[in-house]
Amino acid sequence: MLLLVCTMLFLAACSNNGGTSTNSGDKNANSTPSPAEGTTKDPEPEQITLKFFTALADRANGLGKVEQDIIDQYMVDYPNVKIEVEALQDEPYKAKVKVYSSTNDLPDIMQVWGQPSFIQPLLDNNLLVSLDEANFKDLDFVEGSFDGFAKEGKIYGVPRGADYLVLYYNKKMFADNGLTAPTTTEELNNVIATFRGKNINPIAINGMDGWTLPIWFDYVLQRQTGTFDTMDMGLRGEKAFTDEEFVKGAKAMLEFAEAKGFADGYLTADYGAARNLFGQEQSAMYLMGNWEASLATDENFSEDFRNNVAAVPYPASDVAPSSNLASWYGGGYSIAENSKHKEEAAKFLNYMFQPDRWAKMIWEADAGTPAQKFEQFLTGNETELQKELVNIFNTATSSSGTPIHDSATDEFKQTVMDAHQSLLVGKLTPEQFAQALEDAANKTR
Amino acid sequence: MHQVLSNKRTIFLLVVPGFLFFLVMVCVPIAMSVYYGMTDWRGIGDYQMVGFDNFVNILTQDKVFWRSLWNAVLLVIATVVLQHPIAILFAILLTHMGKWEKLFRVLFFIPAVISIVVTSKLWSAIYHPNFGLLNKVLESIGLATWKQEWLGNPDIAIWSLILTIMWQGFGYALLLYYAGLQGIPEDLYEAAKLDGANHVQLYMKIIIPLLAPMMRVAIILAVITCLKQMETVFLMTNGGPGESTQFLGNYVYKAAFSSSLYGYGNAISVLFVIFCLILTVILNKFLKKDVGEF
Repeated sequence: MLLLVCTMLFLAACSNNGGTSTNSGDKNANSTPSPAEGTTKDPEPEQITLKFFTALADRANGLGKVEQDIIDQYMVDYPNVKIEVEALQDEPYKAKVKVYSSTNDLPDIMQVWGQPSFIQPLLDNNLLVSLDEANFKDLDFVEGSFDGFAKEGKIYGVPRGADYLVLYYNKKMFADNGLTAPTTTEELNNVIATFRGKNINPIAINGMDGWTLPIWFDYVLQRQTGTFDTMDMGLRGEKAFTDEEFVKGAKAMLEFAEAKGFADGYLTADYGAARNLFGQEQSAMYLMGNWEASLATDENFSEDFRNNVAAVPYPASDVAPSSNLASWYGGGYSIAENSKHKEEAAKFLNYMFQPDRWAKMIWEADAGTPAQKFEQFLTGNETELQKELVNIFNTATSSSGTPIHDSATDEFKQTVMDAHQSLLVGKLTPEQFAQALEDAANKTR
Repeated sequence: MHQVLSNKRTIFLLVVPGFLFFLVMVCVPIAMSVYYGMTDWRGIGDYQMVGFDNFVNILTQDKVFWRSLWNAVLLVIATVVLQHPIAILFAILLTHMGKWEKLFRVLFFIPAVISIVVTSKLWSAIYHPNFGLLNKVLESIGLATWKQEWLGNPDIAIWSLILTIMWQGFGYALLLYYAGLQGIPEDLYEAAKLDGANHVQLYMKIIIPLLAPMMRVAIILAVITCLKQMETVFLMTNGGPGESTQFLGNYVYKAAFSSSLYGYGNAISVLFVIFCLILTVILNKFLKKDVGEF
């Protein structure tokens, strides 16, 4: 009985090394025969196993499918390499990264977000390998896309996509009510008032998740001050969040919420709920990222909806045109410092980001916008929505960079998101909101 | 003599595994939590010891912590004052249903076996301000002015949550009281009737007091379950809007995993354990008196 208990304890204590991926060792090395002097025969390549850790849990659709297809193809092209994929959803993924890093056992290639809230701890603790810039030079990456993955002049990750926030809208719902898509913030307010008068939800948004709210604040602030720098200056401490302009921005957000610009119940709507609300034509607009291009092809929604969904940039104001876009390079890949196959991993990343692989495939799969130039892959068969989204991106004249909440620690992120929710529900006044941001920022400056 | 000695050793050997298990699975993790609660660990990298700063901050500056505690107490009170009397009533009704008894027993217990995820999503849909069942029903019976943002209004969101949690746990309370009722001998009913007790007197003065042992069990279980609430909160509101529906389980999750404040999260969980212990002591004193009186 004692033996049984001890065995159980032993198993329990050692079980954290199990995890969902298979636990096989790093390599099945066949010892390479040393080439005899003078022969030109290639030595038999070493059997290598790479561990690939990703937050794209859906391996059958969208980005996850493209990822898996490239991996499968690589294994065909290079039979000596085996790539073991572990895929989790966003939140469990982030938690598991922490577990891996605490045992210094990060997977060879892992997904990262090129934003301080995720990547800074990894960089500060030297857990990622600095990549050779030459390896990615000729792959047509857009200027500035590596910034979020860089530290002190070296790059530590490869960006896989450009993300930007747009306003989706339902053309039919607008037409039925005699409205056209708003191009200025004033038109937006009018449109909202009209929809509310007819008991229609104006804008669906996933308020419960919280992260869209700070990005929206970026827009609101920028449309008032004319530049995205205001927010950045606040973060750096060159301005205080309690300054006039931030309070004014907060007041604008509060007014918007009080005018019921967002759909009813938006603060307890999660991502799926908000998307569905728009897709089921229960709301006229949807404030979300460009990765939702698939709204136009999602068979779960009516054909009517699919034919009528369109996108416009966030409306302009007197001091800021709508070509000022809240955009950033979010997802990407890095190689772990503790990897035993750094070169092989780098080789894989180079393979993956050949323009006719990653960029072309995700564009054709309607799964997002690559961080590389991809005009040459436009097939001409894109949906209207895709064309509009590409146009918005290509005509952008300034970009916000990483949104405020992702620009510091996780704690800062939570505090910022909570502050936004509290402001919009009336628990914090704009001044208190500004103070909350200032206090949170002080901790990180 | 020999008998006693070997008996003691046997006793010791039989107790030790369980005790060791308890030690390693419960006491050691709590001790580790206390240790990590005294650091500022953020999940990745090194940490510094900060002594009791975390604990002091939680007790003096963290409004969300006290709100979570208050919500848990509110839930316990609501459960004991609302759910249990209704459960007792239904249990009594069940015994009078004759051939429908088995059917209704099953029906009343169904919410308890539905997965919490399903229940949360179900009630979220019912509470939805636009297309939720509740608002639509109110509208159709002419009470449109009673329509609310059941989960979006910080003042009433907590009650919406409490209702959902009570609805789900109802089956267990019912089952316990029903079982308790079965344990009361038939003769008592007859004797009471012979002595001229009417229905109300029969139940209020005789049967319900005899349910006291069962009540004690039911209340302890209710308190434990209410303090542990995490899944429903996480799925329905995640503590929102504005932290008005935050519960300690969810708050620890948010602090530790979402904000990556592992040191702080551990400190919260330690204080939570202490709070639960205090509550248990109070409960024991209170309930002992109850049972002793009958």
